[in-house]
Amino acid sequence: MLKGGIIGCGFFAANHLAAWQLIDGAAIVAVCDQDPARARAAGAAGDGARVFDDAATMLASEALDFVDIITTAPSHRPLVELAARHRVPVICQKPFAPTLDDARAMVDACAQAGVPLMVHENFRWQSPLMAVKNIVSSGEIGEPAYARISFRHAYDIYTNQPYLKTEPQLAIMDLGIHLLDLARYFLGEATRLHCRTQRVNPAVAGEDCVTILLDHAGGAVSLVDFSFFTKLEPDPFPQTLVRIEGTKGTVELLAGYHLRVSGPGWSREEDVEPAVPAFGAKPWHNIQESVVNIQRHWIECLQNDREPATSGADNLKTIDLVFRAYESAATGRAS
Amino acid sequence: MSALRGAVIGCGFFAQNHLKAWGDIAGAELVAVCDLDPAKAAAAAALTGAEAFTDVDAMLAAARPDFVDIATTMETHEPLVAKAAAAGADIICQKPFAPDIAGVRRILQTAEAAGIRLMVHENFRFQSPLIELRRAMPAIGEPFFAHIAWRTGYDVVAGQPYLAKVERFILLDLGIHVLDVARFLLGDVADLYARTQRTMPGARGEAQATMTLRHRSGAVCAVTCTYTNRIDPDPFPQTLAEIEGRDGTLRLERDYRLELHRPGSLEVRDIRPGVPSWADPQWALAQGSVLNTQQHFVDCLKSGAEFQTSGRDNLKTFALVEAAYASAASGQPVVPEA
Repeated sequence: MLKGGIIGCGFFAANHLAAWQLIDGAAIVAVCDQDPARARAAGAAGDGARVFDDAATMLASEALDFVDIITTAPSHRPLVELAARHRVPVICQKPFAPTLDDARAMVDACAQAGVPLMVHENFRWQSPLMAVKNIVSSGEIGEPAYARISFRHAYDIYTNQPYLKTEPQLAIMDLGIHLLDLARYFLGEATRLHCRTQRVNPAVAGEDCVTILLDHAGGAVSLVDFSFFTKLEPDPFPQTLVRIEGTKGTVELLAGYHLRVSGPGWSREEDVEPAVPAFGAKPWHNIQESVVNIQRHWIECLQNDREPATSGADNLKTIDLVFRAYESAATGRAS
Repeated sequence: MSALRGAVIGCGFFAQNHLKAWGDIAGAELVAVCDLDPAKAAAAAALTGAEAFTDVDAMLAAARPDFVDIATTMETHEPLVAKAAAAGADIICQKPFAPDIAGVRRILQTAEAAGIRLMVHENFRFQSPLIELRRAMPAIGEPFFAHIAWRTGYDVVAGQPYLAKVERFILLDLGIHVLDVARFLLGDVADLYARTQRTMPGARGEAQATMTLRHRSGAVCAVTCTYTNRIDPDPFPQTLAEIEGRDGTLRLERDYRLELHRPGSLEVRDIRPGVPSWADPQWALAQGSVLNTQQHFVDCLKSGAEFQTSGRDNLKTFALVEAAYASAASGQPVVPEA
């Protein structure tokens, strides 16, 4: 049984904690939050895990096999470096880092300590998106030439995460990071990026509508577009919609988890709606299922000494796209 | 006022739609048809009852039309506009106007110097579903984003084999329409970023283009077009669009389904275009728009009103095509010239 510790017991941590309970081979033995009340509540939910209000104390006093860091980006580097000093493998929530320097420093610290580092980049662990990836990998639609990856909604994300309202870097950092990771996942590394941002909702400080074009190493082009102010009935939140066109056919992930694959004279359709985890509820089941999947992947990687799909080193490439997107939006130039 | 007397120059593939549509236009009659190929000219004369010519100068001198409808390939537009303008005829000219923007400017100067009126046969914005979409926009408030897509695998080269040889392919043939629709819906463009791909084996030019536009209003628009999308059913020749405003969203989906999304409500309308009596149902969308375009030309000639797609206006659309080619080449956004 691998013993895990949680650092950060805020809004999204509830999903991690509930998911850990479903995973064989791992148990959460310690939880930590600067707010003792939140830590106690998480400890109670986590079957009597020991409760800490200081991460250094937790790492010094517990013999942990891994830590799961679920805090905001600016706190990641000191926490990851702390875990690396204790030679404890690390899962770190996204966004991985507020700067590329921080991200590189964390990857280096874990590499030098010889411990695995995985970024909790969970979109590519959503089963509908894995179904899309499987179709692309199978060759059924041929060589991809174009993709649109889209996430447009007006769901109130600000009530649960009030800090989002005042973030000067909003949609790319919070959501675009996932979609840029998906663009890499589906079409390979991006070689060029151009980004336009808009602030549509007057009540928020950062960008909430973003339109990005990417060139990919294989020659494909992708359009990545997302908005937090798009009025749709029903609201598709939190679904990512995808269309990938290849030399033989097209795969579309449509609203309602409707997967459609077609080419000249043929088509097939499939319902790929994820199951609702025991702890979960619609419309969050899509995300909640992915948390179970990524955490299970982490345990399998630790047990078999494999590199996680969204390792820190891999995620440097995603976060690089995030910073390039902000730079492009600011300068008006592609890079 | 008596009917205006018109002449069609060029009686090829797409011109058949023009010829048939003229029969349904109020306020105009065809008196002459002209094609270098005597068989094509004779067939057009048989269809319309107009007189056949194989020489433009002879036609202009003999028929003395009030207007000419130029439906030839773009390389011939400049000399034909010069001849018609010299004869004092008003002109409706097929798109693309000219191979490049310098040619467009010379054509405009010729027409303006002769004091004749010039409209471009830019017909997408005269497609009834796009007219309906434009009309529905006040319901969604100030638009901030649009996505306009024209994606097909329909074999356009089969009907127009010269398209396989052109260096400037989908942007000039089709992208020009979709970019004009972007202007029609969201207004003038501040800058444009474009990626092009040569996705059609055997074709020299780009068969796929993906663009983002920043409009002067601040709205952003993604415009995408391809001739190499393998999909079933193929939506050819439909333009699909999403427009998002502060109060709601409009979606023009496949099969002419127009959706109006507002908080708590979804209204769906079927805005399938009517089929002109002479039309082939598969081509009804384009053929209906040809009819609307030509009627607009005649109505404006009679009333003196400005054409929606005047030569001057179309310069702005053409500037977007040029900006797209320049952006695709440089890898950087480009401010359109006009």
